[in-house]
Parts: sequence; C-alpha cells; structure tokens
Amino acid sequence: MSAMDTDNDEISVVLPSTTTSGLSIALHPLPILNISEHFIRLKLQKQKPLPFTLGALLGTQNGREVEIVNTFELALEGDEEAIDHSFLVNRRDQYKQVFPSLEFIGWYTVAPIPTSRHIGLHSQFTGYCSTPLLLILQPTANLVGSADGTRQNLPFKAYEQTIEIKDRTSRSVFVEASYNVETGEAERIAVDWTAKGGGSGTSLESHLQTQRAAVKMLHDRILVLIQYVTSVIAVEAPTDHGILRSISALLASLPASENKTFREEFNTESEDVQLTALLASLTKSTNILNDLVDKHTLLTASAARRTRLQMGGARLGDWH
Amino acid sequence: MANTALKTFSIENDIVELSPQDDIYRFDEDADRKINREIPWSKDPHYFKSCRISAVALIKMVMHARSGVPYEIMGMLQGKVVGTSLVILDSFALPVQGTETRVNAGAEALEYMVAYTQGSQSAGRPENLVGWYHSHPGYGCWLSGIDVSTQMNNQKHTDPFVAVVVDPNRTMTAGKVDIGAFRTYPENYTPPNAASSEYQSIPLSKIEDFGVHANQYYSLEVEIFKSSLETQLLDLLWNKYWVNTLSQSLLISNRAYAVSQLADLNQKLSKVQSSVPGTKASLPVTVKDSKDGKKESSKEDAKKENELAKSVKDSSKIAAEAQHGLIAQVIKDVIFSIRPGNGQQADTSKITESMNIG
Repeated sequence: MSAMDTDNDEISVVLPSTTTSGLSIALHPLPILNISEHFIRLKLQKQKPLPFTLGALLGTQNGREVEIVNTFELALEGDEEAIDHSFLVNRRDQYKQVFPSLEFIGWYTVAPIPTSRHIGLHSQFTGYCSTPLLLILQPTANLVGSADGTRQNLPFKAYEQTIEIKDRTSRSVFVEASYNVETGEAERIAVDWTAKGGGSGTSLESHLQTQRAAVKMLHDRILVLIQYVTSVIAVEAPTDHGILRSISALLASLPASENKTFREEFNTESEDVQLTALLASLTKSTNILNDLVDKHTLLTASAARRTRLQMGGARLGDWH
Repeated sequence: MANTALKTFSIENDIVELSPQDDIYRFDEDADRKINREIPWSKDPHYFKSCRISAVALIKMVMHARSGVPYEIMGMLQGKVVGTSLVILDSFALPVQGTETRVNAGAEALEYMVAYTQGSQSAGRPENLVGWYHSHPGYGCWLSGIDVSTQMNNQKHTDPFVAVVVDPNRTMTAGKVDIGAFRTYPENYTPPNAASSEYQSIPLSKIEDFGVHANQYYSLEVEIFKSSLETQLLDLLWNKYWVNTLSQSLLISNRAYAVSQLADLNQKLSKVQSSVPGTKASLPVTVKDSKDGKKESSKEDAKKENELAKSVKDSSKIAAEAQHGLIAQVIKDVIFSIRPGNGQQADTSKITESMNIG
C-alpha cells in the first residue's frame, strides 16, 4: 500500500462501489451521442487514440434529481490543465439565450477511470455550479457484444464529488452515481429513426416493427424473471426475498386496467378513432361516387351528342 | 507491475479502431479550400443532389423544434461539401423568437451566429456554416415565400448553403422524423421539368403560399449518417428506452394536433363542397389525342377534381395515424389486462377490427 501511495496515479480517487451517491440522475440520449461525436472528431483531428476531451453538461437540477439534457465542448488554455473560462462563460450564456431552462450542471471527459487530474479540473468548475457532476465515457469498456445481449451497460459512468476523511486528512474523491436513461417522445422518435438509418417504409410497417421490438424486449425480460424463479424453486439459486417481493407486487398489479373509469376512457378513445376511420371511408366513397357520376355524365353526354348529330336534328336535349 | 503495463498498453492500443465510415468526421482543410475556390455549384443550379446529416445534428434540430412548438424556431448548420452532397455535421440554435408565420434573423441573431462560430473554432469544430434550418410546426416541410427569398439571398452571398425544414408535430404523429432539405433556383431560371414531389397535406391557410413558390426550389435527398461508436451506443441505448416505446401513447401526446388536423380537413371539405358539382371526368388521353391543346385542358380538369381526392388523401392519413395509436393501446391492453383462462375474446377481436381499416 505504501509503495503505491507515492505513485500519484495509483491512488484511487473513486470510493469503492459500496458507497453510492444519493443523486438520481436522468441521462438523455442526446448528451451520449454528443460526447461520442466529440470524441471521434478529436481522435481524427489529433490522430491520437485517446485525445483529451472536455466538455460541459447542461440540464436541470432539482434537489437530488438531476436531468442531463445537452452538452457543449470546452476549450482548454495552453497546457491542457486550465480551462478557458471566458469561452465557457460565453458558450453557456449563448445556450442560455436559446434554452433558458437549462443550466450548467457538470462536465464530461473521456477516460477509463477518474484520476487526480480530474479532481484538479473539477475544482475549477465549482465556481459555476455548486455541485458539478462528472460524466465519463469509457472508451474500451464493454463495447463488444455480450453473450445474450440483454444485460449490457452503456460505457458511461457518472460521479459526484465528496470529501473523504481518513487518517485525520480529508481529500476530495469521486463517488459513483447511478443513472437512468430517459427520453422525451420527440427525442425517442429521432433516436429511433437514426438508429434505423433514416429510411422509410410504409408507416404501418415501421410502427408495427417498433412495437414488436419493444414487446420482444419485455418478453425477454419476463423470461429472465421466470428463469430466476424456477431456479429458486429448484433450490439452485439463493432466494433473495427483496426480488421475490417485487415480483409478487408486479403480479398483483395485473391486470393493469380493470379500473372502471379507465375502461370508459379507453372505450371512448377507441370509439373516436374508429369514428375517424368511418368518416375517412365515407369521404373516400363520396369521392368515388362523384367520380362515377362524372364518368357516367361524360359517357351519356357523348352518346347523346352522337345520336343528336346522327339525327341531324336541332332537338333540344332535355337530358340534364 | 507487468499487469499494469499490459493494461496501459492495451488501453492505448486497443481502442476501437476508426472504421472508414468515421472518415466523414475528419475536416480536411485543403480539400475544403480547394472546393471553395472551384465553386462548381455556381455553374450548375442543380449541382447538389443530396444532403447528409449527422445523427447528432438531426437530434438537436428535432429537440430544438419540439421545444419551440407552436412557434417557428431557427438555427444554423455547420458542415462541409463533399462531392455533390452537402454534409451537415452539427447544428446550433439561434435565439430568434419566431411568430407563428415568419422567422427572420435580426442583428442580434447575426451577432450570436458570429460569436458562436468563432467560439467553435477554438473548441475543435473548424467547419463552416453551410446552411440554416427552421421549423414548420404542423404544416409540413416546404419553403414559404419568405423562406424562398431568404434562401435565394443566402445562396447569392454565402453559397454553399442549404435550407433545412423540420416539422416536429408531424414527427410525433408519423413516428418518424419529418425533415426536408432544399435549394432554390437562381432567379430567372426555370427548371427543365417540374418534377412532382411526393404529396403532403398542407393546411388550408398555407396552401396558397406553398403552391405559388413550389417551382422555385428543389428538394435534396436526405440521408442520415452516424459514426461506428454511435451505432454501438444506439444499440445499447435501445436496451434502456424500449420501456418508453411501450409506455408512451401516441393518441394522448398528439391529441391537440390531431384535433387541429380534423378541423382543417373540415374546412377543406366545406370548400370542396361548392366545387364538386362542377367536376368533370377527364377523357382518357389516347395516342392520337395527345396534341398540346387537348392535354392542357384535361390537365386543368384533373387539377379541379383533385380537390376532393386530395381531401380523401388527407382524411385517410389522419385515420391511419389514429389507427397506429389505437393499435399500440390495444396491444398493451391485451398484454397487461388478460387474465389467464377467462376467455377474453372481446379484446382480441378488437385487434382484428382495427387492423381491417385502411
């Protein structure tokens, strides 16, 4: 231990995973894609496999609930240790003009784990936000597909700064915080569409495909739960009462919509939709009918004209 | 010790290799300068054929447009020219508050634009401005008269420039991003053949504006690209947000927009009501009839009677979208509400019913 203390890089600045932060973080897909694009760009520009990437996180923070919505890149001054503060302030104000509800809530970088260098940088951000967050993209972790593909994590980790008191000295450390991925509806559609390559197909087809994919995921997750329960029954796996309790709570809440008011709303909604469909088909039939009448008029009119010409008479047609 | 050495080595050399598809992100200054000197687009008004948009730029545009509903929002695009396609790598929003019918960049926005681009250079984004985007919330992707004149101006002074339009409302109802990229023809240039684009329903209030200027610009094919890392991340992301796909309901989130569409259709139909008695069927054009005179008159007749047909198309679109929402709801109902062994025949029959329409 003492040998490692002298070597700066070896002291872990991350508290062991038994301690987790109390923040509940909601991460949107846009920051994730932004950070990866920034990283790729710098890789190309500087031709290094691990260039130093730095950027700011924008979002909202309500007490312990944090939502990370957008990001922007930051510039470094000189020797990569000091942030260009004027740039940060300018950019932040520019984003404030367009998105007044978003605030500066932290920063991001690309590294396998946080180090003391990041602690140093972190302290430079405390002037802008009371408790900035650190979001890290881990470039090598877990990008290869796992065996069943269901339990894969994004290569991102979020950290909060805290003070650790040990041996009468205090030092700043990072403690890991867990996050969830949240999307708004528009964001989900955009992300989904780009994931599929931006193509098209009839809209019914793509809509059904998305639904099917989502239902399949649900099915896979349920299978995992069933597997767990059967192995518990067969005394192969340790019984975790917490998990079993939550499973039974889930089952007790099904069927999810026996509520009378819900049923009424649901029926009203489906009736509205079917009414729209009925009206649409009525309009279509009206159009077809109109078309038919027009064609009939045309045919009979030309037939009448021909017979009139043949007769050579000036008999006034009282067809119309 | 050997362990850590190996780890450092593998970290430095094991990073996911850049695949060729990532090459588009590289900014090649020389190539950029060269093409800006040659300016091949000034000789051919139809030079640019496609517009490739990066995933990040697209999502930012959609989010910005969505946050601005019901106002039109506006922003700029950064990128470069590659061959006959305009590549858009990033987008940023402008602090312009549009009223519902017009968006114009004032002095404040120009300042913002300049400051932002200068800042971008120092933050590692050296690309130039190659376009602007704005939103048409609820009325489709096309260029209005003001847009056409703005874009013609842009193309005169700051070519290469592209105009991108995004519709956040249609995006929500259709389940895919409604986006279009356009370039205007220079003044006094008539395109060789007025290619008819794919039909899109335009609200009554805007239909004049659409029709008058429809021949002054053409649309570029839109492609989306993403880096290899982004592709992997998107796959991983799906693991997280599939829950949202199931839980969100199209019918509820689009209620206001659906209602406004129905009201608009109602107005269109009442207009059509007066013109329906005057419709005539068009004679099928036989070979010996295809002299110019006959063709002209039959085309006009075709235009008149198409009013009702257009309304039919609009109504089927509205009904189809509502059906999509209902299908999702019924699927959820079946999954979460059926008790085993209770023979819920009614629910499954609902599914077959809703599938039969359209």
